[in-house]
Amino acid sequence: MALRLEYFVVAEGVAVDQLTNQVSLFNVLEEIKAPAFPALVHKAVAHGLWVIQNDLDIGTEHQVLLIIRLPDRAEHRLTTNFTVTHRRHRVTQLIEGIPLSTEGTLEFEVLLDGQHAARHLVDVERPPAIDGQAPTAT
Amino acid sequence: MLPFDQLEADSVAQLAFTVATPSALYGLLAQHPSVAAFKTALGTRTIDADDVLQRVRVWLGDFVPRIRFRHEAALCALVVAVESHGSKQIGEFIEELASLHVAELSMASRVARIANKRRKATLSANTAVIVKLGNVPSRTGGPRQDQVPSRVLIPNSFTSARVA
Repeated sequence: MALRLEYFVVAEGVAVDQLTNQVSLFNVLEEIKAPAFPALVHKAVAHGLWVIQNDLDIGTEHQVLLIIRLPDRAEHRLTTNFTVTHRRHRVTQLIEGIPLSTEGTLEFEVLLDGQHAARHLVDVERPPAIDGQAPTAT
Repeated sequence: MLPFDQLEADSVAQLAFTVATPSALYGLLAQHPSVAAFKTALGTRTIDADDVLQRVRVWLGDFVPRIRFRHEAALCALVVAVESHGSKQIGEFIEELASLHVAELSMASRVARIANKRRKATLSANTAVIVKLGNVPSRTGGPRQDQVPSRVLIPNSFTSARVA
């Protein structure tokens, strides 16, 4: 792989300081508790940092494919193309409105030029019943 | 003295006159107190990217073909001072200056090439896209509160403090 993935993470928000170019990620997604289904994750940010292996990679074009696998096994594929101009290149995909119809695992898999690079898993759960009562069905 | 005026100080101009190579000039400017003061002003947001570009436009107003550009030393110092600024406009300014092949700005453009190279080695590029998978309800017409997942969640493992 021409680029090395330094890190990949899915969070609720991201900010890039215009002065320093420093990136901040807010609320890394690990677990989502849905009081009832269907539920909606309003916003998630898939963020990865790619680093070139040598200067010859400057100017090369690449494609990041983000595959979102929902707990109900539905799948969404989002592609982002970019040209390497710097030694490090951040790719941020902001996803609005992730529908959740059931509990399970929400999976974010990232591929570079068709090759698997990383995966971020989020548990989607219904909170445990209180005092033996079952959660409200919808 | 204002940060921009410091870049036009005689000590900066003397460096540009006496140092022959752009790499040496870059190195000396990087340690110059005027450049350090300018970086501090940028860091404290006393001046911003728009101020920088505005001043460059003012300086370039004095550009006369075939006559030595009188602000070239200050322009060199400015490039070194803003090299690590994260804004896109500053990146474009350095990139454009680095791409110039004009005799009157030869030293400034060569210093800009060094700064541009360093900038690309140290700053990360950003590519961002927004994708809508589902309909996100507006705040006024949103889903019932019980349909919105709650953020999570630290396990309930806190223990109460015991007061002696």
